[in-house]
Amino acid sequence: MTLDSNQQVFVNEATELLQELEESLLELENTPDSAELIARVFRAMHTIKGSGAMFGFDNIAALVHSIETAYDMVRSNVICVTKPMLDYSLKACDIIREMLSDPEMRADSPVAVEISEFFTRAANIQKQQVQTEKQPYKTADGVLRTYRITFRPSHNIMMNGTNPSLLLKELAEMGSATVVAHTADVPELNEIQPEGCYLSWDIILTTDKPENDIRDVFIFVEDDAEITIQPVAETFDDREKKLGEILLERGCLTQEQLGEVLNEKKRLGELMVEKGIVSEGAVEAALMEQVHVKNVNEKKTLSAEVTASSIRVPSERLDSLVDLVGELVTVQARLSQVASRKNDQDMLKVAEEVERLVWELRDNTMSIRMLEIGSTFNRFKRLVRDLSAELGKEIELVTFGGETEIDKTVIEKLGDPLVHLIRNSIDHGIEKPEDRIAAGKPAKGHISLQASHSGDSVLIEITDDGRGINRKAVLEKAKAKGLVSENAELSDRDIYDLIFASGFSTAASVSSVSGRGVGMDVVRRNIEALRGTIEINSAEGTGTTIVLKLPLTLAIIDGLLVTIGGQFFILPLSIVNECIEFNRSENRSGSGRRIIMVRNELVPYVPLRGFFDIRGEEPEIQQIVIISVDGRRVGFVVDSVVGDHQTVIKSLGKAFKDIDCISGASVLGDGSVALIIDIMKIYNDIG
Amino acid sequence: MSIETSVEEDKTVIEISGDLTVGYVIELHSVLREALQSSDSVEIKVGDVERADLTLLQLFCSAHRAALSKDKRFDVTGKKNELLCMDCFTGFTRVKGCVIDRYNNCALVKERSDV
Amino acid sequence: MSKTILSVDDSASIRQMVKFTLNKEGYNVIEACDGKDALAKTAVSKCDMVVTDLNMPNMDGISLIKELRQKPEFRFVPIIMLTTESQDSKKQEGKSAGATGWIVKPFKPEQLVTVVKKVLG
Repeated sequence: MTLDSNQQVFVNEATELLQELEESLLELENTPDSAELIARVFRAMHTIKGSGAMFGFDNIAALVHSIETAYDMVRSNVICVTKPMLDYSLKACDIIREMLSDPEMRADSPVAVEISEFFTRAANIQKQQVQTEKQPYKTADGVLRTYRITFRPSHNIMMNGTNPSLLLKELAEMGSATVVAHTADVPELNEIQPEGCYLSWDIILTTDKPENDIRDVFIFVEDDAEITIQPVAETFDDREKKLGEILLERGCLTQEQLGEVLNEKKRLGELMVEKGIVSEGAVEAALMEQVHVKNVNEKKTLSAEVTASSIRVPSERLDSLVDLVGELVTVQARLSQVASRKNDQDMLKVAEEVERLVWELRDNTMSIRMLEIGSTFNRFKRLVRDLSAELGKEIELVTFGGETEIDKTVIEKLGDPLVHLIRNSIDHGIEKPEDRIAAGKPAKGHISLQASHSGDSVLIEITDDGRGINRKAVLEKAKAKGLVSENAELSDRDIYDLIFASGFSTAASVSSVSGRGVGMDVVRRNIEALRGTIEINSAEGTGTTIVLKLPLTLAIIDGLLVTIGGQFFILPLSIVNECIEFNRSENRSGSGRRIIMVRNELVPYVPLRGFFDIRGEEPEIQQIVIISVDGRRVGFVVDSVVGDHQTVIKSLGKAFKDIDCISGASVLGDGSVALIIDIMKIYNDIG
Repeated sequence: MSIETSVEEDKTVIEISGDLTVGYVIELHSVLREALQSSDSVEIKVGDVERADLTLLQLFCSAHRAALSKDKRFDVTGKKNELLCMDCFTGFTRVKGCVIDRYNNCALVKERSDV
Repeated sequence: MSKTILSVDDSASIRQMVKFTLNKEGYNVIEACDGKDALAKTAVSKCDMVVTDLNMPNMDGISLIKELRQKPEFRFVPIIMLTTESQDSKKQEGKSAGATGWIVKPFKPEQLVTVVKKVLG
């Protein structure tokens, strides 16, 4: 416990008081009946106790309590000062001094207990039950209740500095209040005492606070005012209470009087005042209550709607909803296809309408499954703390963009790769404090986790300010492991890519942190399984940034539908750049290298027909779909491009789990199956 | 607080402004008593109010009652609406004077501006 | 114009806490270490509220409240007394002397603010 400035002032003050106290006690030994000395001792004890409790020295307060009580009794001549009492008082001074220097010291050490017991006996204090709270306070439970409060201050209420207006204001701040002031008791000018109070109030208060809180508002004036607080019975039907009923409930008139007035067909309030049964003020207050309750009831209906705005649903239900929406998207595609084939105007119109609605439904459903990534980020704070301690490093994790939303299924599968990447940063990236200081960096390393939206993807960046990646070391290791040839010339990007090759580890010693047999290759595979990409940027000496690019959702993607040999395939539209015509004969270059010129740019291409080993005659004119990954463009040759397609991804099932370049399948409008091509996989395979 | 009294014909005009809390209301009380003794009509002109409390409204009401019982007039004019709208006067929401308000000049009813 | 509160207590730490807490809420705070000192301070500066301890040397809180209520300018000024739980009878004594309300020690800064808002606004 470190002392704040208030506590420090207390410690200084208490030290002085103890000094004084000791002197007084010693003097008191000579003149045990000096009232002045006794008062001084009491005051010192009193201050030490009161201030001690206020500044967190509960131990001191507990110890001094019985001593103070004993001296209070001495002060009022109930008991006399004795020699043992002074002895124990001086002992207490010593203990308090110790407690001042060590606030953690408890009040139940043997000496402290002995002192307390002595004074308790001396003062013959019945062991009092410590009154904690008067009663378990009901706290606000969110349920609105309406109370009818009458506040009739005594004539003299303002003479002790009370301002009734402030109490009314306090009440009004507790909820919605209707206040009616009554002036009926104000006397004429010659009789009035201007500083006296002749007013009274009726307050109708609707609040979620318990009745006790309302009573607390009047705590200082309880004895100077007539206060009644009465819950207004709920009306269960929609009907607001009639004026007569309210007046009856308030006890302003009797049933007979009401009946009498009701027999005349005039406005009730006016009649009653005319007849002098009830005062004008009473009618006014009752009318106000009527209006208030009406308003509150209206608001209640509204707030009931508001509270229903958030509900908890098991995630399986959401998953099945997403599945159903997926089916619906498929069926809608079929409907559109049928409609256009029949060329029936009415049907086309309906199909279009259905399409619009289904898209909206799809987007809405997807957004339900979106979760903030922040909770995942928070898990890593602990990881970083524990691991850095284990490795003797000082590391702080900062996170940004925790509010970024991403599909629940993506988040679930993102955990493991992120853990691995952060472990890498802690283990390989951030240096030991002494190394950092030697390198002119602050001893404490920083890792930042940042999430942001970028188009239909989410970017997650893991940045550390560590030593960065030693490209030379990576290259040498790769050569040693035979991953690249001895004289290979590689770009920086290629070198970083080596890190993702299986079985690669640059740490001089394999620590328990990152050497768990899982390499960066697994991380990359995991990210790619999420249809994401991973990229490393590093500057030696200043740090490394790893960027993960992930799709917002896994269930439905915008795809580009193509055909190869009468078969349908789907490419993710998000990475497609353009489609151009591909004339086989024109592009047959002599060298057999698969490269075409697209607007003065050489683009390598992969004929998918050959890649998938699809037989049959190639059409003369084919299409080439150009995708762009990491700023590099690659073409994929297909027979024809059908167009964009809302692709509901279906997994292929266990039997096909070893198939590499197909990430799933989708059902087309006419019921046929289209395979989803794992472009990233092919792209990486061909290098 | 400042209290300025001026007598014109049969009417006393009392201009008040500043701090209108209990300490000063006691002073205003005696001024009003005198005025209602000597004049048939008393008008309180409310100026810029810094602070006010319940005792002021109470005194207005009392003066109004006294005036009515002597069949005299007691009117509150000037920045009356602003005064009644002050935070401390919650509950003074009446739109109509009490039964005895013959001249319809209750000191606690806001002036209507819907002419 | 910010309101001025007179804090009367023989404990410097309580005075400091009161001053710090109320300053933060935008009130001016004048300090006095006992009843005598408080009377001297009120003679020279105007204040809108008084927060006083009860047990003090020279002049205790109850006598201070009585003295203050005699002065015309203090007739309607809110006066809050600080008491300890063992002094329940003191509450009554204080109220009849003219105290507006009380705060039971030990109290937290927020409680002080709540009470000041309650009686001073």
